[in-house]
Amino acid sequence: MEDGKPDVLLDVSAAVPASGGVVRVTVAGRGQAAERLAMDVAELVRTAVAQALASGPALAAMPEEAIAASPPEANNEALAPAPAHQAPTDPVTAAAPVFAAPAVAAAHPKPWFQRHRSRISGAVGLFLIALALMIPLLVPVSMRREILPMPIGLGLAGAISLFSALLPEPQRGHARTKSQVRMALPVKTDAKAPALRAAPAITKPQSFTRRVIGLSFGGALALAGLIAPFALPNVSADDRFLMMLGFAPIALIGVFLLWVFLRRPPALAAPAQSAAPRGTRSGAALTGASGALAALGVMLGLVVALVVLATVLPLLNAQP
Amino acid sequence: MAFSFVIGLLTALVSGAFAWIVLTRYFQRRGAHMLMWGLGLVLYFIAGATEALLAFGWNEIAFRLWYWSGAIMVAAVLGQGTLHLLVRKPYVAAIFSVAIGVVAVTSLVWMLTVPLDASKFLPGDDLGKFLTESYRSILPQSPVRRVLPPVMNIYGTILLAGGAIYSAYLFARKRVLPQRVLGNTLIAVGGILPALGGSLIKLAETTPTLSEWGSVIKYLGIFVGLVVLFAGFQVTASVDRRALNGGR
Repeated sequence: MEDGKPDVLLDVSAAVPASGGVVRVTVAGRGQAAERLAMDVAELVRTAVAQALASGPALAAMPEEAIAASPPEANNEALAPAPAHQAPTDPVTAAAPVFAAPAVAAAHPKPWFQRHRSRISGAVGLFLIALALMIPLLVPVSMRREILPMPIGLGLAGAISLFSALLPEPQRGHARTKSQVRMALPVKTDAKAPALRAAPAITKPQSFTRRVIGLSFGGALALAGLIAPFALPNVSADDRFLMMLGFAPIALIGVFLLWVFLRRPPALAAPAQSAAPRGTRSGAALTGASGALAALGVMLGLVVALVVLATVLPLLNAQP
Repeated sequence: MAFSFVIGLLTALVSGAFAWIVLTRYFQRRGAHMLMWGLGLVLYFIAGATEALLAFGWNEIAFRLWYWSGAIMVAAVLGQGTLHLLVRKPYVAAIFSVAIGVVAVTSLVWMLTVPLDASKFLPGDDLGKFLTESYRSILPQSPVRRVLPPVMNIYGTILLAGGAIYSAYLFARKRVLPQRVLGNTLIAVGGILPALGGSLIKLAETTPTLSEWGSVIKYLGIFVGLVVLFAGFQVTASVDRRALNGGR
């Protein structure tokens, strides 16, 4: 791959005779993410055309081989100016609504560990956190100080793994895909355009169950991160300080999860927002600032809570 | 009336008024840097008020809050405001703010739980010995006490004074807004003065002859530095006021 040219390219045009419009899907990108996306789109087109072939005689003239050849393959060699692998560019007559059918996205030729990544990450995360909680209870009291970094590290790794498992699917996809994905939708606008425009956004909305699980985990992690440093009695102030610093990432991840899942569900299928003009504060900038303010609010809340606790606890202990 | 009480009281009054102005400005215009500066000045106020309170005699909570706010947090939070102002990518400053927040909470817990030796407390009549001399004996010799305050103060001073010097340099180089050059220079001086006293006190741990001078410079540096900081802020803010009034 050289000069930033794409090593995966898929270009499919489909004419819709009923409306006179043309649907054109172009995927151009680099690396495995683009390859996967191109395969998904190709699979979607192939299924749609196959369904249309089965349902009507309109596509009888289209050769079956050309449709089957649509999934691209990655080209690891240096690219020539021409696309490395191009799907048939002949107009394919297909019924437009078929593109919107969510069922076509079900066929994923991914390895099993990719398909079950969330479950694997969740299980590993839970296992690591369980280990982190068990170790201080199992080892002798005299050795607790020496083994302290171990549960902290395990807890941190477990929290990150859980966080990865709970991250909503679309966000994870956005984070790792940098390929150029362009959807050139009907050149000639018609009444079916809105349906077609919505079709590419095959996303899984944040379900109620997912939110509840996310909030529960977030709350549990936040509480665990806050309470764990106080679980061991007879610890010096310096050790407690180090334990709190060590468990802080777990609490922060928990707070972050709470923040993510408490937000209004994002409109994932909505078209991307237009970029802010130069010289103005972008949406990302505002998000960063509000994140900082939220973090500050949490910090102040904790400070107030701790001051109250520090004032009340000695009074309670003083009672006979 | 002990001089330490007067200095503490004046510091509390000036920082309280300064915090009120900055926080009012924050609520009018927003901006994470204003909020951070406002919080930093609230911490300054707490440090001054508890110092004035301690001039009357030993008070455990006042001592703990004095050390936490004045010796550990104030410089870092003020510097964090400058970081929010100067860094173009807000998430970078946000990450540092979260880190400072974590240190604030953990250091507060540490400060509230660390054992103190109240018998080593010296009354506030002698400015050269009050607190700056006795705090070393009141607090235990622990790694956190040795490491945390210098790290936080160096971080905060570099950001506050360094950021102000950098801003002043930018305006001076472009030959625009001379008030901003003056204001930022004053802010830099105001940020450096308390750090100078703190450094002398730290040096006094190994060079006892510096102890008395270090204490005096520390107290005066805290108050004079605050006044200079206030003046710098007002000079800088006057540019914004003129801009709002159409250059009049």
